Amino acid sequence: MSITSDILRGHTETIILANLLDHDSYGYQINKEIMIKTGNQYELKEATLYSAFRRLEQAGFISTYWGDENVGARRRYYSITDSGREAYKVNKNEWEISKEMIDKLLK
Amino acid sequence: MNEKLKNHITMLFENAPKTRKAYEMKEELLANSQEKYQDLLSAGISDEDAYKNVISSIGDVSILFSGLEEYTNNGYESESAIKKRALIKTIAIGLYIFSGVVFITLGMISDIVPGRIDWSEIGLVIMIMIDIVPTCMLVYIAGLKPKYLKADDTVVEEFKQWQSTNNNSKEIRRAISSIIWTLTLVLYFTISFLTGAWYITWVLFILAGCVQSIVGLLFSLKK
Repeated sequence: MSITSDILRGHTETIILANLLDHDSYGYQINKEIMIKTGNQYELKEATLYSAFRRLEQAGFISTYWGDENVGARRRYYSITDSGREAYKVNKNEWEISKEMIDKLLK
Repeated sequence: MNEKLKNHITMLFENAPKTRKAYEMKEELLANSQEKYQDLLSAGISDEDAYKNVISSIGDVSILFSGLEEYTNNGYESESAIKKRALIKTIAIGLYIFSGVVFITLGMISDIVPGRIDWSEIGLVIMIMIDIVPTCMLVYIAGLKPKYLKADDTVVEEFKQWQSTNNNSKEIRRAISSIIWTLTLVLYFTISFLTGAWYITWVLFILAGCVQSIVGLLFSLKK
């Protein structure tokens, strides 16, 4: 599974953007949804997640705010920006193209 | 709230820079970890196993540390401090100009209103007295600039500290320069008005240049 996790890790940012398309979310919830979608096959390390968050924030693709929970520690929420949506579309497209190319080459 | 988790995460962030960003990330990690821990417990997993699971899914946080530095927290100034200094400098310049106007105005009174009082001398004294305020303001500002304290003993930090003290002494030099030039102007006008020897008093400015250079030399020798 090592090649797979490398490839997945390379797409961490797009994966996060995809997750934020429909609703804002926070670290653990994003990771949970990824685990559910992959049938528990894939889980991101927190450190990987956070460094992706920072890169996305610096690029202006996501914005962040603190929630005001009544119980427990407050959560840091992320939401996707317009340029984030653009980036998502571009990256997804590139992935589709790479996927096609590799499929052709591996026949 | 699991104390063990909190302690472990605090330990992970021991070597992180002491900045607000780092603190917030620690808070975020803690919140996410606690929630995951609770979820695992609800799924029937034991305390021990849940804890181990959460810890092992954190990964290596030290890769994040270099991005957590922030400039406002390490001896550099906050925006409000910068604004304050700029304001004080502006007021100081305004006061200098104002004092000059007062002097010239009072001098004009002497010409218009006949009498035994020499208004221009009074004007001079008043001007110098007003000038005390802006001069003190400038020296005060030069002292306000925060010293840069080394964050650690690396060469980079030492350089930053040296750079900061260098900038500080530059500020002090500039303050002294303005004092010299103010005094020069005062002397120039005083002597010129008193003696009427305008054809020679301009030499004073050359003298001022000399004094400036001497001050500069003294500063370099002091280093």
